[in-house]
Amino acid sequence: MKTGEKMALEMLNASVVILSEGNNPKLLNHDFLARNKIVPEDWHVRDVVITPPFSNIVYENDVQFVVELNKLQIRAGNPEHIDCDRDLPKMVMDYLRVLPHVSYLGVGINFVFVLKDSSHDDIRKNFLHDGPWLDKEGNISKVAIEFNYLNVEPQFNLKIDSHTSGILFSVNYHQNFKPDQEKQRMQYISEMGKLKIRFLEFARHLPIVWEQE
Amino acid sequence: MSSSTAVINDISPSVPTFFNVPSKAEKVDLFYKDLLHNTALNLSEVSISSIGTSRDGTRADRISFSEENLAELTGQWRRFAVSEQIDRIRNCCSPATGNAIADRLGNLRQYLCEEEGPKIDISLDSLQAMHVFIEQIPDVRLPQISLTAEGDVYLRWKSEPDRLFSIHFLDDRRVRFAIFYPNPRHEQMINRHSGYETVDTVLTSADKICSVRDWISG
Repeated sequence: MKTGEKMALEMLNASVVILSEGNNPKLLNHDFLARNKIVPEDWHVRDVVITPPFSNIVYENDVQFVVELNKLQIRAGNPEHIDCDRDLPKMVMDYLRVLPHVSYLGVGINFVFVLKDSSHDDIRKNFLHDGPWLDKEGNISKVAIEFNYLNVEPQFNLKIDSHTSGILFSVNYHQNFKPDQEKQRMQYISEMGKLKIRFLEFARHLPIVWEQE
Repeated sequence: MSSSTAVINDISPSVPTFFNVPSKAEKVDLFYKDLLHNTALNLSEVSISSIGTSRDGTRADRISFSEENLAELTGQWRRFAVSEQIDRIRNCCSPATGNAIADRLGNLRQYLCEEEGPKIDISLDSLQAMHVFIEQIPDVRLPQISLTAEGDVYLRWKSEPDRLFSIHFLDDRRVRFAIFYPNPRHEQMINRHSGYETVDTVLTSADKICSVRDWISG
């Protein structure tokens, strides 16, 4: 990244992860999702694995459902194919409504953004002081930083890491819920779009020069 | 630590709701552990809680739900599996017949639920056998469909006076069948045959007795 050049964050994917007790991974298949109107019937499955403890369905539009006994994960792998602010949380909420007997707990709302044409050098220059620790073991080859904000609700976790395509920002907003807090859980999931904007506002304060989306 | 990769891997588990698909090795491990668990349940040798305590902590974590939850989930799985099986039967013969069979099964299912309670459903094994049987006759005629007290499916085709073929799907492979037809030399006499067979051979056997396939298709 050249000094003073403004860069834009681009969203790579978004996901919702729900901790739970008593998921039944064997239920997961396209017929189940389509019949219960969680996904449209005309979506095409690209990959599927169904076992008693773990199931995974990936659609051609990169939407992915992963069910384990203690976790449900739904991910939009390509935000160009699906509205991550509206359609992704709706799918998640529809799934939860279909299986109300499972004890759902905490919910994580995740985004991965990339700052293209940047590298680990930019992380090092912008986040670390210069000093001997950067070259004592030979020049440092990779830098990754994790920020955890655990004393707020929702908890906020951010990992900044480099990748071939640029700097990756892995964002997690984690909120704990009790099983019977269904209304609050649904409300939290429905506000996925607001959390995305909240992160973009936060990112303005990071010591990297860029322009927001 | 000298490796930044190690740092990332060490940090990740502290955030439980980051998106994370288990690795292939982990999936295989999960699968076999669960297979062992299911086998133990099927054999009724040990209770769920004893499995939890006899294994290491990681397994016990995943079986923290109660037996009641497990029964509920098994019930949910069975209800969805029965619905799926009915859909498969709907799609394995002509649309008109397939829809009529599936609709009738749906109605019977509802009656069964109203009569016996929500936990009682059509036998999944019996439906699977019915699917195997119907698949062998793509132009099957619509049979009379009823359920036994156990939820098994029972089909009957009546054609012309005194001709009847009935089949009772006992589980996913065994059937009982009966054939009534007029004796070709003594028209007043009704021949009666019955048997106990596997679902994939019963049609051949019935055809040998008289051309049952012709009665029930077309």
